[in-house]
Amino acid sequence: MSERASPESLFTADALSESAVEAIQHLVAANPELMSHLRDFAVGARPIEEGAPNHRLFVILEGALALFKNLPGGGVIEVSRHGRGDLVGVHSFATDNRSFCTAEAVEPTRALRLGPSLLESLPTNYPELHRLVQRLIVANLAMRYRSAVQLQVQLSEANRELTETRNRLIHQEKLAVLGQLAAGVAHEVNNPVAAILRHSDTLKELLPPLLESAAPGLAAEFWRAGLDSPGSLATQREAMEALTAAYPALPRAALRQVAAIPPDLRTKVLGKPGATSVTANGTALIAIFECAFLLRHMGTGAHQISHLVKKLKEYARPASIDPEVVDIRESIEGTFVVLNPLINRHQLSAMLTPGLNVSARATSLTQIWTNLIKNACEAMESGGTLSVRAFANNGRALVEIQDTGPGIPEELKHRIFEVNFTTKTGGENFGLGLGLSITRSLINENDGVLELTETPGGGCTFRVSFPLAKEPAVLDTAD
Amino acid sequence: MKPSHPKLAILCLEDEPAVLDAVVRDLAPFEELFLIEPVESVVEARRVISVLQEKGVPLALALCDHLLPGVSGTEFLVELNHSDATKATRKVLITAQAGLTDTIRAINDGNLNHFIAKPWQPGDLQKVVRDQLTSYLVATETNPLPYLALLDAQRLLEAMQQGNTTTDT
Amino acid sequence: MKRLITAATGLALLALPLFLPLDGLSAAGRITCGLFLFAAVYWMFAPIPIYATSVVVILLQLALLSNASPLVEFLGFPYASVDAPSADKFTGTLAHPILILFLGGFMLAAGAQKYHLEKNLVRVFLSPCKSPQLLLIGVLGVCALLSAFMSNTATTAMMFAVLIPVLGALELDDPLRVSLALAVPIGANIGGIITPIGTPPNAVALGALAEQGIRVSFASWMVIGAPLALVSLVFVTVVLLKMFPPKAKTIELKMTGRFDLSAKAVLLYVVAGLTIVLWATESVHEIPSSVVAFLPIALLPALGIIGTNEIRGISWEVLWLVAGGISLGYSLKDSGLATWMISLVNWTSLGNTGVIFGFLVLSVLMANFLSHTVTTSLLVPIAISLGTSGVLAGPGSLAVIAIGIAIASSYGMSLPISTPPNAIAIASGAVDTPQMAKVGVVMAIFGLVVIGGLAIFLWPLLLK
Repeated sequence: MSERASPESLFTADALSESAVEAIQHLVAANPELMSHLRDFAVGARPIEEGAPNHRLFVILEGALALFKNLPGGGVIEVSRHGRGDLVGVHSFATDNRSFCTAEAVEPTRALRLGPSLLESLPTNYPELHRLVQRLIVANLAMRYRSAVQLQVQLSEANRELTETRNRLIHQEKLAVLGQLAAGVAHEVNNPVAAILRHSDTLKELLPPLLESAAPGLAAEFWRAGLDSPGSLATQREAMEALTAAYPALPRAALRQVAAIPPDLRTKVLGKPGATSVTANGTALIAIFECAFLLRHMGTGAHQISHLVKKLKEYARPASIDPEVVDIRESIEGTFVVLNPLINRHQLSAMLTPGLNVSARATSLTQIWTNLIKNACEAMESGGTLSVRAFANNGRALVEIQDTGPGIPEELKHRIFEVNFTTKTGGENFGLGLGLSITRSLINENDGVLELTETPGGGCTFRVSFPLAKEPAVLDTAD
Repeated sequence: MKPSHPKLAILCLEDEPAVLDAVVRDLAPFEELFLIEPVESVVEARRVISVLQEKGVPLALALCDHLLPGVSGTEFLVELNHSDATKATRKVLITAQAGLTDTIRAINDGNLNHFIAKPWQPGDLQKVVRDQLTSYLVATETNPLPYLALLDAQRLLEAMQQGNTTTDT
Repeated sequence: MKRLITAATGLALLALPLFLPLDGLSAAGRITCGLFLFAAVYWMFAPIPIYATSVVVILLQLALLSNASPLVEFLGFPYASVDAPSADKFTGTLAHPILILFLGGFMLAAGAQKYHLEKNLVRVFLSPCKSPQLLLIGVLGVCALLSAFMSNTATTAMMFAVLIPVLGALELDDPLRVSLALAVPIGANIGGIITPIGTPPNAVALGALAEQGIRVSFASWMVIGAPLALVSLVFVTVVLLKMFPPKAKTIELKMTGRFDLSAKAVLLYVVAGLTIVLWATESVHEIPSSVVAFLPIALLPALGIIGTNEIRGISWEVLWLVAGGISLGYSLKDSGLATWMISLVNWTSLGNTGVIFGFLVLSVLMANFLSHTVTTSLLVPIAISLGTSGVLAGPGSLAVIAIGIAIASSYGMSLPISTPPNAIAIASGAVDTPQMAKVGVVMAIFGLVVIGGLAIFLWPLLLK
């Protein structure tokens, strides 16, 4: 490399410093007095100590010096590393302050040590060297500026990742707490519910013989009728109209009870049309029917609670650590049960192929469906349609969650996955949702892919795909 | 003093059959003097209301759940409030779930008279119904005598004295 | 369906007398007879509201019997000569002095209600009543006092509203519930006889008498009515306490409130007091009570004590009801129907006493089933005719019989249908019809005896 660098390369710091260093080496070689200012540092030597005053500028000709800083909480970090052509000690030398960092040789290093007297004499005695040093200083400053900017960028990136991670941790913390609460509630609820079911079964056995004595012969029929499903409300209303017309003298409250009784049994209670009172057994028979009817309702209600609790426990269990083979359909249906109040106000169209097995963390999947379904429901006014489809395609399980809401505007499509991006302005929040960015992370962690696809007719469709799990090792499966 | 047939109606709108049954059961004391109409959806409710109008039976009270398949209970009450025939109907929401926005809409646009949270205490429903029916009678200046024993006699009599419906003959 | 039948019957009866061979009855008399039958059927069975019947009666009179009637104008029927009564006479019933008197009373009552005077009076009278007996007396007394000036029905509604908590606190089988529930309508009905404005039947009687040129002053009426009311109330107290001895020992009646002392309320008290004083002293200053009635009619709106709301709330239909009754009486006399009817019956065999007593019995009997005003409207014209045709003899006999019928009608209170206050009492559920009937019959008999006695022995002297 000639002393005169090409015009372009003059403006890159590296080229500038390389040519300068070469020039300096030539100069030093040509001027023996300068040679006394050369210093060699072995590995570990420290030309500059942090906190100590420093009046020297070091131009590194060979090797490398690293700058170390003590951390406030203890420990030391390496701030930067400087090699051939770099200047060390500029800050403390120029400002007369104590050194900001410790400079330590990490390779065998030769540097030109420029003390204050030498520097002062440079313009007169070694003008060429002076010029070179100046050039080096400029190059050095440029390089420091550039690294500062890069540091800013890295810092910003690090912050972003930090925020995302922090959010995810908070959320998982919330879910963990919810899981504990749900498990506790479920346990406490299960006991009374079990008692209700047991006792109502016992009642179903104890009562019939007792009731037989109240209305001999007919009690069993009415009891059985009461345990059967009631007719629809429309048939009951028709029955009520017919009965009030046929028995105007009877109190309507009693007729309403009779309207629920099957038609062939009614005459046993009411007698002929126009009767002014129920038959002798009538009151007892109605009461028998009512007992069975109410017991049935109690049983149904208790079963509903039981089922809901079971689903809730599954939904809110502690986060799975390891992936397992999960049936997509069961996973989604479990989510439906728990999110029913949210889905309720819309139409649900669910086409879930059974037997789609994927290998994933079960709780992550639940979180993924929850978030996508919640977003879909919240995007729609009451009465929209939520479609959830799960099917196999090309060795992958695809789940599409579609809403009939306003869809996502073109300009926002790329932003929806950003951390903290939201268009929701408040209102009810079940507090169970995640941001889309976290959802995507979850999907990615489980080997899945999340896409936003086009929705003909407006609305929004999110497509999640996972590789189908291979069947558990069964050797006769051909590929 | 009983009117020959129920002259006023009460509508119960609830899609969960077990709950609807419980409401109708709680309304048994009112069965003699009021026509109780249980319905499971807004579509059914609209039909029943037009039948009532044909028969000339005014709707005194509507008890509605909010969360229903299709049109919500709140929207239905708003409908009732905007129709001349049912403007005076007393409107009550019985519900486990209605967010703030919906409740505000029910109050402001639907002229909601009362809100009962599910599950309700025994006796609470009857108390509210008694109170609301009394208010209906007072507001529409209906002859309260047949209802004195069933509803709030004191309020009915006071209204009778203050109002323009009594006559000395 | 029932309504159609009665409506048709009434209309049929309207025309019937024209075709029956009724010797000696003029055409006008036949029409009036038909009108009377029509009114009787329509008032008794009420296919249309009774106040509507009253104005229909006036309409028919205008159309058939007045000088504005096209029949008279063009056909000379039923009055052959120019003797047809002026239309103004019939339309003028709507502003008859007696109705003006009542209107004055209505205005005062409206003012009292607006400023809660009646509630405060109840509070003052009833708060000190701690025992069942005292409460019963208090209720009877205050109901009577209020209904002497206010509508009986409004008094009853208000009183029951006050008593509901008391009734609720008593045990369900405590006979005190029954006696309290009966005390209200009985007190209200009896109170109606104390003043001329106490109840509409009084107006019918006074209106009919005025047509005969007989003026009964406010005070004179009170002299007749008040002592009778007092005695009756005492009797009722004894009867109720005997038939339904109270179980409870003490009564808690909490009423809060204060007399309204705002400027307008005080003005009301002043106007009311002044009016009542002037009414009571009519014989002293000779200003007719209907003229005095214009004091409240004018001053209450003028001083802003009551406004259009209260004016619209006045029971105008009651005034019309009375107007019809009075108007019908006119035709009975003018058309000669009265004279003809009298001639049908051999009255002399009954004697004065018999006639008077007979009418009293009829009045009480009919009033149990019909509106008191209707009873009076049907009986008073006939009774007056008896007087004018000389069947009834003796000084003041017209006044005696008319007032007697009116007062006796207030004693018809055995059934829920007898009067609206009775209906309210039954609707409260605290008393049932057999109990009400028991007491009602006793009151009716007592009334007949006492009124009969007074009518025959005392009143002729008072009414000269």
